[in-house]
Amino acid sequence: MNKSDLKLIASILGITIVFLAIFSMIQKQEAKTAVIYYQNEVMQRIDLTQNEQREYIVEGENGPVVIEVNKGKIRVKQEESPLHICSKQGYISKNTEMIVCLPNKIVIQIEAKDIIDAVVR
Amino acid sequence: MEYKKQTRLSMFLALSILLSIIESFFPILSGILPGMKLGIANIIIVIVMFLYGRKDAFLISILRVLLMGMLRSGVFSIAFFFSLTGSLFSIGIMALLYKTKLSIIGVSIIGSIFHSVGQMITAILILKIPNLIYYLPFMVLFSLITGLLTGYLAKQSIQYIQRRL
Repeated sequence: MNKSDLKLIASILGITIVFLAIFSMIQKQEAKTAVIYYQNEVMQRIDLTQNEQREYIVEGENGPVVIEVNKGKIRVKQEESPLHICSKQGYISKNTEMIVCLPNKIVIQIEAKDIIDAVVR
Repeated sequence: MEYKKQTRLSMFLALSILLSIIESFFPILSGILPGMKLGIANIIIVIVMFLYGRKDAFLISILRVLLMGMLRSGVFSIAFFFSLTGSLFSIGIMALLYKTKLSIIGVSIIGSIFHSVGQMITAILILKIPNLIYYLPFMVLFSLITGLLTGYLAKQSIQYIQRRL
């Protein structure tokens, strides 16, 4: 380990911290919408700012996927897949967080309308 | 001389495949973030690069990916492409940087990080999920640690090997 190694490590840490700061600022944005994708197509947009508990059912690759919204958080309640990774993940609520259910080809993504759209486009 | 080198390189190739297979038995880390690995096979690539140069390291790296594809994931599966782009990114940056002032550890760190970056780009392009980019800082931090670890191990092994070659 020499001086330039330490410089490399320091600059990598610096850059990642800057990016983490930017990303956490994006995450703090209000007006959250959860978007449900099936095979990269938007199936449903759900406003997470309303507080009441709701359930949505989306057709996934292996059958119906039950999605629950509660107090600004969203989770996959029930789904048909070998490992149940997405239902085990539990609730997500922050911007840019996502639940990916590959077997069902379903992706749930929380988006802050303006900034994410700007980033993606 | 040529035969000696060939034999040693094939031994290194076999070792890197062995390490990849051992690593695939422990998917604990991918529970933290999907796709996370220690990347211990990279130890061999770094050793070969510092003992024999970038060409041979490139060869061993690509052969390892191909053979692992045949043994495990199947050639032309998604996992194979992830592995291939990751390795190409990693070996590319290491080949560029290994004659600079960076030591073995520094080169290993940057190689490990570019492995993650390459896989992330492939994942974004194949799975079409641009929001994956938000996981990149975490992947980079994790790669920094694993790169440090594998770099240290590679350095120790090179000292040990050079005394015996």
